[in-house]
Amino acid sequence: MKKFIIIAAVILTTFSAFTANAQVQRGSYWGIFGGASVPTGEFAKSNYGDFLDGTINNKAGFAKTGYTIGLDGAWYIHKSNWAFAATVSYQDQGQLSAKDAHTLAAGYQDAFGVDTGAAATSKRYRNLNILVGPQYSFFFSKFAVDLRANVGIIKSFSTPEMDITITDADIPYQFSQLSSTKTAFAYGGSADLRYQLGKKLGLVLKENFVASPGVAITNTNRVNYAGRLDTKQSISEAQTTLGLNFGF
Amino acid sequence: MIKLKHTVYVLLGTALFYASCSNKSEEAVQPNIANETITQATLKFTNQANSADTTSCTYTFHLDNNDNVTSVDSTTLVLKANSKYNGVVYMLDQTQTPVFVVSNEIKQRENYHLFFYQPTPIASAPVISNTSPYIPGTPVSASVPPLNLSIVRTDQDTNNPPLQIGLSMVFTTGAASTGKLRWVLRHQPNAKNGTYAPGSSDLDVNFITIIQ
Repeated sequence: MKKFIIIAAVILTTFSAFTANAQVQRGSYWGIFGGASVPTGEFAKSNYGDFLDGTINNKAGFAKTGYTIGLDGAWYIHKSNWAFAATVSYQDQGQLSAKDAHTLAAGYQDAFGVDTGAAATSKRYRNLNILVGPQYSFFFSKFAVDLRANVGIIKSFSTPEMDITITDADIPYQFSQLSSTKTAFAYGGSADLRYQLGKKLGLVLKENFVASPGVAITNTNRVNYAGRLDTKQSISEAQTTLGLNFGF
Repeated sequence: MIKLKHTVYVLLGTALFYASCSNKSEEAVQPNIANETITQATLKFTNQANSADTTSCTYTFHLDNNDNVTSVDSTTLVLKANSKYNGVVYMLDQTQTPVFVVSNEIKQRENYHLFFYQPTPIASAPVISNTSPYIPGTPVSASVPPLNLSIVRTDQDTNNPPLQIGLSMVFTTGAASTGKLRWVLRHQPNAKNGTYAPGSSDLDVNFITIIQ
């Protein structure tokens, strides 16, 4: 993260030498961006919990830091600092690791009191955010600071699939948590720093937070209530991105 | 001066690189961990009509230093005729210090454990359902007087819909008779449906039973 901020500052300083006369345009713009997407909250947790203590974590998402790319835009109300803003972004939040699979295997083995537990995991967290909301901008010569609140949807393309086999007295019992392609409500906010590179071109450094109560998860062959059972995976992401915006 | 199109190409190329990340699968198998040991299994009864009338039966497993069973012994269950008794299960693991109450853990793991109680001899095949405490396939004896005993499990687990457990039950005796009570604990991980078939037996013992 530190390296990213230093690089961004260097880029901004370098370009300022070539664009000394550029002023931040108070007009509408669209842009592209990319950067890191860091899972937060339950989405980022990777603990199973303890069955006998009653602390099973059904909501641990096992998500990993990944990347985000997207399109962004703001349409200003005439002669106002207020704008209507929209963002469409794609995120990849990784997949379960070997350690995560061990955690699941051990957790289900204990929860069902069986001889052995085995976990096979596949697929990744991939989703699309479509968010809209009001934006207010503060303009300072070459810079602008934008504050935005968003609501919208998160469309899941995939979530990790977990195939569990518990075995007791040489009898296997299998069940699965399937990958989700559901859509859910999402909300969030962002703050960004824009720097005008040219008449219609700017550089933008943004910190964005997106959260969702979660996408519905389907589980197969869960006959008894015991052990981890995730029926709705909450999603929350803190994203740091660098992008370009184009005035129109 | 960096051209706009070059910047866009770099960003798109980076995106395509990350988008090609694989969906490889991770697998893990947790090694065998020994199941909980039962060294003593007891049924305790209280007469519904007279709380001072209590009785019990106990099955004891004697173990060597490697937790192998070397011998067993059991006490006789004696019940009054034409009576109703509230019964509870009490199981211990005496290999641990302090002694571990296994029945408490079975209660915590109620959603995949189920007790069965089968008196013998029986004169007709028991009615089997997902609330029946009897063991299917129990032989019927037309020539030997039956043990006049019926059982109802009275507790339920937290499955949806809930299923019986059998940690508490009601024994109803008829006329004086003798026989045996077969007591089985089924372990049915993610397979409990109220019937005997799924899973395996954690306990399967018999008590000589006298109704007098």
